[in-house]
Amino acid sequence: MKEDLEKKFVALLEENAGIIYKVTRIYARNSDDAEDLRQEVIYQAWRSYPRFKGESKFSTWLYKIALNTALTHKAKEEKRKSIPEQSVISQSETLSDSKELLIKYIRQFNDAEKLIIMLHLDGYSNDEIALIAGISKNHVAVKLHRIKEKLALNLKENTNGN
Amino acid sequence: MEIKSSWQEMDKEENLLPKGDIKKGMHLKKEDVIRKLNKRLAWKIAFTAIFTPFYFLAIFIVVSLIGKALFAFIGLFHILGLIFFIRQYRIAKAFDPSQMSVREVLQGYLENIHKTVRLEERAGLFLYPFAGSAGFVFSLSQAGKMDEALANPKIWLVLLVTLLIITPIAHYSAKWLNKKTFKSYTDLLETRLAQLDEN
Repeated sequence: MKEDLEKKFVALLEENAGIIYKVTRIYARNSDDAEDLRQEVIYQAWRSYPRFKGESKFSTWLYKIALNTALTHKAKEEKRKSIPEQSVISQSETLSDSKELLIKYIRQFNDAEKLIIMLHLDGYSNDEIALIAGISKNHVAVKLHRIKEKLALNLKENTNGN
Repeated sequence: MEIKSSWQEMDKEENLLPKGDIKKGMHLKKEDVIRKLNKRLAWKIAFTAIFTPFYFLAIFIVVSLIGKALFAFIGLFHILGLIFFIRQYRIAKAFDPSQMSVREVLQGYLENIHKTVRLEERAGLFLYPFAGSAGFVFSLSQAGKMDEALANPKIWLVLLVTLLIITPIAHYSAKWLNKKTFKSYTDLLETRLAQLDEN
């Protein structure tokens, strides 16, 4: 019984690996922190999984857990000199330059803005983002408008620079 | 660059989450701040449950009425503490981030830490003088010099001075330790909560 549950959970996580990957890339400070955060998200998801009744899509449920975990996560104090994020997360090497650039710009937002833009880019409506974040729909719209402007400006500057 | 499609295409990359990492995460041993706090709470419950009967036992050992009253008071206070700790522990364990918004989770974590720490500190401040006095009376009673000692004003003065020194030291040490353990974390949560609210 437990084995079945475990197998099903692992399969669902693999299907939705992109969510954990993106949340980790956006919120973690360095490679050690990325590993800690990734495992913490998986731990929290596994702990809550028996209560998952399928009322929402698994991806939405997982996104919520991943974001809640990222926003309550505290990176360990860095004792040694920090290594730049891009050079330490192994999977990043497989991403194209445009995707890396996008990650780089989203990482520059504050933690609440990161949450809103990530969900928006993954196709969530303002209503759904408001529910996940716990703020009003209007507030989401205002923030999102500003974030998109900043993001577009950064990308434009980058294009002009090249 | 098409932002949305670039972002969504990341989901299709290979090996985003190795199986080994999933297994490791499912059986994670490391504890985050909240699990450490809950563990601390569990230890307090165990510690209080083990030691509270001894205070009631001391009521029968101590001869003097003052001693009996002090130990009875401390025992009852510990029972109240035990009830609070168990209640707080159950609330903390029932906390489910999959059912709550980010704002609710941030507020819940902050409330959990503040409530537990505040009550611990206040209860300690209230209890230290009684615990100190009980210990003092108990040792006098064991030495068999109770009546003689209670009649001596110098003994009362020594007790008073000791309590005046010990109580603030114990209180501020506990406060300092809690601050050292939780302050940077609660600051971080408050910053994130403020970021959600700011326009």
